[in-house]
Amino acid sequence: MTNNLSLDEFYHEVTKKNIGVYTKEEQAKLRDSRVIIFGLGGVGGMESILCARSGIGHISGVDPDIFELSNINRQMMAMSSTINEYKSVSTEKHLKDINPFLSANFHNVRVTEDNVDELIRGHNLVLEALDDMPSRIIVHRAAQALGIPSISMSGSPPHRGFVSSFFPDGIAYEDALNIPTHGKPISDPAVTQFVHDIKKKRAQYSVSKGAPQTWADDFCSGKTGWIITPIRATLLAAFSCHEAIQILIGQKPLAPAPKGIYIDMDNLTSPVSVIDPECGYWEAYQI
Amino acid sequence: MQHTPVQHSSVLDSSMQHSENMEKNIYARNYGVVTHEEQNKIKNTKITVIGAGGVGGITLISLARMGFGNIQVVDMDKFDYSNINRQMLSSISRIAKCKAECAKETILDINPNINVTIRQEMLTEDNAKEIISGSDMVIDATDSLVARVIIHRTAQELQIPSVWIAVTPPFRGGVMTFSHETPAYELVLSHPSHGKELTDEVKKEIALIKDERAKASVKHGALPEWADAFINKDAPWAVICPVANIVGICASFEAFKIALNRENLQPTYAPNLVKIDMSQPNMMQVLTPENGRWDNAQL
Repeated sequence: MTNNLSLDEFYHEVTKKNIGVYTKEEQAKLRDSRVIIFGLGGVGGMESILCARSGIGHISGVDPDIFELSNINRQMMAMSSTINEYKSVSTEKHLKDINPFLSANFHNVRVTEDNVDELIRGHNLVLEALDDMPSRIIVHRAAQALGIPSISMSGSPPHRGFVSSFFPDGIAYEDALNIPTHGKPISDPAVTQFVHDIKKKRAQYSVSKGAPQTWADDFCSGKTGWIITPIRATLLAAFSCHEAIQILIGQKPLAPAPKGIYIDMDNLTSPVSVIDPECGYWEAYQI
Repeated sequence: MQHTPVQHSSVLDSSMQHSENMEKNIYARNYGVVTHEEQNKIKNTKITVIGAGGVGGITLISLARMGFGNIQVVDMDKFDYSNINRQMLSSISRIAKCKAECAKETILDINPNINVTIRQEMLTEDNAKEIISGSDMVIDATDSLVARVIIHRTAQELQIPSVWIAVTPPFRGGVMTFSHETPAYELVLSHPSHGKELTDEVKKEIALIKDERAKASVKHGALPEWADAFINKDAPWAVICPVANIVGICASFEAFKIALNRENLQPTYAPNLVKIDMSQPNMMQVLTPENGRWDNAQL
């Protein structure tokens, strides 16, 4: 399929349009980079594609789920033909068709406090694209402890999103999002309660940003899922990936925490901007 | 990827029922962002996307995943290795395959009920009217500045809204929507071709704007040696993955807003412009030009 191109020839052919924006030296850094993506859904799946297309040499992915019909509206690898396949398996297959020389390591597991260190070790950067708060906390805590930068994201209805980059010597994830769980194990009842409450608070706050009250009420009573379109998921992935690349090539990221890239596509004058929160942190339920 | 055949209206009632249930599941997570009535509106919209490359590819995927039910794809090119760095429909197994055919395959794999028509041809003054008429909206995702002039002239004449895009080194992009009520494309972008017949001379003049855009990119951080090489035709237009895909998503969002026509969520009608610069804290802004015009060389 690669017409007997050598690895170097192939790499040059597929990445030559990056040169001019990135220098050849920067592109070489991407080729030598190793990233791991937690969550391979609407955001993480697209992140894996963007990383592979940008020429990042090694990509690991972690997700225990299979594709369902309701993923199709936003998840890039969710197709009629991939329903019931493991996301980790479909994603690796898809990426190998973008770059057959890609070094890939995909895990069909859920991230936990027990396996997170082993998963993250050996990578230059972590992209977090998980949909539950406890797992997010686990990933960013571990990345910071292991001295590896991690990109966080969150998305809320109707078209809002948030991306921020965390560094070993910077503010901690839980401090930047004002989550009062610092130092507590994820199994602590106080953590469970906080996480439970914040989900509902986020849904109700979304109503003030344009989401329907009926949806928020149905969500809070467990009748319906979190609403999301391809617009928000893809934008979150693209902005996260841009932050990741800036860090990997040694340029400044736009949003080192507590700064955040704030997306609100219903804002008709300033849909996306970098915001430095005045009080030094964000409220997790508002993003 | 598996090719799934289109469902025709002759299918049995039971499978109609089945496909309706399937669509309900596919678009379940849209409800709340859109109402059921709006989802139907999107399904009944006819949209034409011209160009299935870096911007058009993600635009088409996004339209299909949002539930647009009638999609026409116009592209005469085949996939090449240099597309892989950003084009969502491209892959190694699709090298040398027709982009429009591949777009159809992917759209039908997302939802087999979507009506997809493809045209493997270049858009010209001779076929533009025939291609665009009958659509409710058109997205210009071509890389030819001359084709763009033809698209937006024709669309405005036919009173069909048209979405314009730009992807410019190093980290810049733009999106805006034209309609029969906005000023003309060539006026808004200060093209010297406005009101002129598209002679070879005028076409050449339009094409040169791209060199001016390359030169202007340098002050925004593009590599000067790249701009020189581009002007000497020794280097391709530089474009990176995150920017092309953000612009494509924004183009699909314009289509979404045109289709819904909500009072409080109107498209970005020209001369207002969605301006993207991922190197600046104001990464995406909607701006109004001071004298009603933009300079295309600077976008």
